[in-house]
Amino acid sequence: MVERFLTIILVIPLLSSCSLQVLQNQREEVLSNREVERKVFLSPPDDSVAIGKIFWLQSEKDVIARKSFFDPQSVSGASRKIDAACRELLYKAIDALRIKDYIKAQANIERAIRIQPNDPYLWTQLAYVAVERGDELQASAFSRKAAAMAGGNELLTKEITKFLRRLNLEVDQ
Amino acid sequence: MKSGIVSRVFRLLRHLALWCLLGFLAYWAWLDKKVYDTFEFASWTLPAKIYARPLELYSSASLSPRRLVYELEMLGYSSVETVRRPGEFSQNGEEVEYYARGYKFWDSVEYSQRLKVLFSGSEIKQVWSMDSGKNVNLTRTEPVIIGSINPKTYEDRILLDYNQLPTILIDTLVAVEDRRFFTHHGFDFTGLVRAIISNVRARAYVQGGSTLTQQLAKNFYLTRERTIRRKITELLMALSIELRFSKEQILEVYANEIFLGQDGNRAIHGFGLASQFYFGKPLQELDVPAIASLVGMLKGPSAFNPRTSPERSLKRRNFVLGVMEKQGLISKARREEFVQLPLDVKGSQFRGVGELTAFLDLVKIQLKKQYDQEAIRNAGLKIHTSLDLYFHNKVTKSVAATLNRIEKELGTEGVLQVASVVIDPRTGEILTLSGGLRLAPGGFNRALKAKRQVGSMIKPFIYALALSEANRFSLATTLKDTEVDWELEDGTIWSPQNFDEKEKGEISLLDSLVYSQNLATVNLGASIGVPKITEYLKKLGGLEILEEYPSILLGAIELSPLELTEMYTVFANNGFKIPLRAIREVTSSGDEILKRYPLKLKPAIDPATSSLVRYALTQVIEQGTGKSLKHTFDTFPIAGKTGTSDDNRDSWFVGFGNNRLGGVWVGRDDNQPTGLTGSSGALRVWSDFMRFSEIKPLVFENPPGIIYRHMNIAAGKQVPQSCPGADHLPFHVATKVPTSKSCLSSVRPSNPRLRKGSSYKRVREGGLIRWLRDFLQ
Repeated sequence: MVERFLTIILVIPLLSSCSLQVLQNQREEVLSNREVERKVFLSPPDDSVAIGKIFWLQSEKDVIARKSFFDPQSVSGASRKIDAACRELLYKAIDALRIKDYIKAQANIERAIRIQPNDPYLWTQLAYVAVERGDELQASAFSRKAAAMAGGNELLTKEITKFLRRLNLEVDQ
Repeated sequence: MKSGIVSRVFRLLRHLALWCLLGFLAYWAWLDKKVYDTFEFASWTLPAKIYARPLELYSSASLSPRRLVYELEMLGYSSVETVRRPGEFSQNGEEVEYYARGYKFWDSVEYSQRLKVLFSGSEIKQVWSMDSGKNVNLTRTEPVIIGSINPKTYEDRILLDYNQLPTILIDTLVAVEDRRFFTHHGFDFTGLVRAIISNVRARAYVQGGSTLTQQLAKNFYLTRERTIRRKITELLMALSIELRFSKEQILEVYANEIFLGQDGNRAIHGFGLASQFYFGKPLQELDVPAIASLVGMLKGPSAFNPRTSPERSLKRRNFVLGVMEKQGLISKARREEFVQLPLDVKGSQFRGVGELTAFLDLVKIQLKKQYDQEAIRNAGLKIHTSLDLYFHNKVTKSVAATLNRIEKELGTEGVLQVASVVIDPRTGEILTLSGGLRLAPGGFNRALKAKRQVGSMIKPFIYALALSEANRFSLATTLKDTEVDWELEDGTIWSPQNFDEKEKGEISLLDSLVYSQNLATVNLGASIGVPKITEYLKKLGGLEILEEYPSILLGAIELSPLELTEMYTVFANNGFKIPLRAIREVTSSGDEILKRYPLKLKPAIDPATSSLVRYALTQVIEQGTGKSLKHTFDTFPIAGKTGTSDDNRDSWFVGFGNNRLGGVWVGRDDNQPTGLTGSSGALRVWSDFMRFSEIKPLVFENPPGIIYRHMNIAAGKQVPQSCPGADHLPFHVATKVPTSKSCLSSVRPSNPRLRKGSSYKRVREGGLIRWLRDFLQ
């Protein structure tokens, strides 16, 4: 009887502390993953050199790919099946932008838009190229169009709003 | 004395000879400079080439095997059982294999490779490279040439380097025309004697004595007259060419310059163009008999033209094949095999393309804004357009067929005309343009130039202005559809009527647009103010409205089909107007980008207001003046608007889905009444050709600032969701709507279907399902 009692007294807290530790670890892992995801998602505009005209296309290719095509929230109603074709064109746009070939960058994004025109993300990319080449009027129009297409995608809408603020413009409410 | 005279004569003759020699040398020096300048500095005048858009191939692209095969055939690919060489393709059910020739686009290169495209129905399942054994994410076909803008000389050619000339062509050329080409110096005495003997023996002119170099000199600088002076000049020039340039350079220039026939007023120069013109494929892909045909033509391009004189051409080709056998270029067995083959002449690329005059007109107009005429004609520009060749062909045929049918029904013949434009509303690219039936080059291109009254087509823009005032108007606002007597400035009274000459009393703003009520629209316009509306239309469409008449409210404005189509992009595109484009880019003959025509957006209407009007336009098709479309299409929702001008002079329809927007006008050139409404004329034309367009249903994204409410429209109140027959309508968030806790009893008799709830999600329903649903409703 005493033996059983001692076992319960010792083992239960031990087990509880172990399981609590496991849960804590899991929670931390989840939080850390979320934090990484959040950073990946938000960092390019936020961490950009503070000159106001650095944007996603200049970030790494994998970030583009993740943001653009692996986030199920990033597109309203568009088919996900053709992502490989669009991704290839975005990579080409990135390469063109690195050497400041804005004509080629825009041409590649336009080609992607012809393939997947309902993807608001692609329209934001067009806006960023427009900013780079100093055409703030078109940048504003492209991003407003993206915002109108973003529908219920809060993250994308938030980012577009941020982008428009950078241009000293307000998004349509 | 006598010897003195003789010596003086001799001296004189010596002087004369010396002067003659000097004169001769000076003349030769002059000829030599001319030859040098031409070879060294001259660039050929190359016409601008106009291309259709290339076909994009990627997994999940909406494309049928038939479309791909059509495109390959237009590019001159040959259908074979086993694909071995560039320019060949084979089809096996849902698999199309082709050997791409490769093409250098200005932004990237598509390499020559064997590709297999696997289809699943009318969608690409996979694109596979047979060479690398890997999946191909994205590739595109070469663009098809659809036209050219010729230089004033009406010459045309496809330039080739020496290395691009097939060896068999060079060997055949030398064997037939000038066997000692690589050893003589421009003039071949042995060859001349041999030619004379051959001609005497044959008692006919069977062989020429001129070397290739002499032929080149003659072709370049001289006329066809047969005089001794011309012969001497030709000889001197040939010697100069030989002294200054290598044999390879001479052959290259010869292959690009030699005259090989006539296409209307266009002169076909060089083997490169002749190959495309007669055999529909690049020179590198020609087989031996075709090369023999081309070389055979050199003797007389008109006499041995394989199209106009096939029998003579065939005989000449077989003669050339005989020479090839004698010279050891082909075996006897091969010659015997080849002479059995037909000429296999194909139409030139843009013979089968259909009516392109209207589209090319537009391209030229857009080009003239950027380039002077000389550059367009001579600099060899490549103009890449957005024309969808396959769809264009279908539209051209469909438009003509539908108009003929309508004319038969009306009992008229040849009086109706038509213009149509189809674009991709998301990019503003023009996919096809038709400027009228039987449109001749330089004729009246109605799509661009026919400015006609637009009638009810203007209404959506007036309603957009009203709906932008969220505090005053919504789709549920009640309008008066009652008699209007409007006193004009000159004291006359303007009393418009509804189309059916009946008044509806009170009607919702939505129904007024859906059923195109004139009186309600005029009353709405009166409450906004004609000056304000005029200003709005000027800003929106860039219209020139000189005077502010109230009849503007019913479309007393003249626009071309192209202008009106462009205006409607605002509703298809979240309130952004997209300038229409026929040209994607202009590149140099060396594929360097010269000018790009980028996608541009012009904010015109706020996205929320635009979405309200778009909703109303879907209801036009769902239950209003455009509902006959429901019998043809199962791709809903689509949006559209019909329009009819005074006395049925002009019949209009503009309609759009997610990926296509088309505008059609039907009327008479003499502006007389046609007896057609927008529904019975233009809409039918639109409906018939849009079936080939793979039009997709509209995608409804809710832009910021839009909220949906359940409404009893007749009562103008928001009602609980559970109310039977309540309309689910979009509103501006800012719009205040009175609310009722009960359903209220009054219903709207005019649009029973609408009250069954929104049918937005009814996409691609089959005819039977649609019929059953309609029946149950």
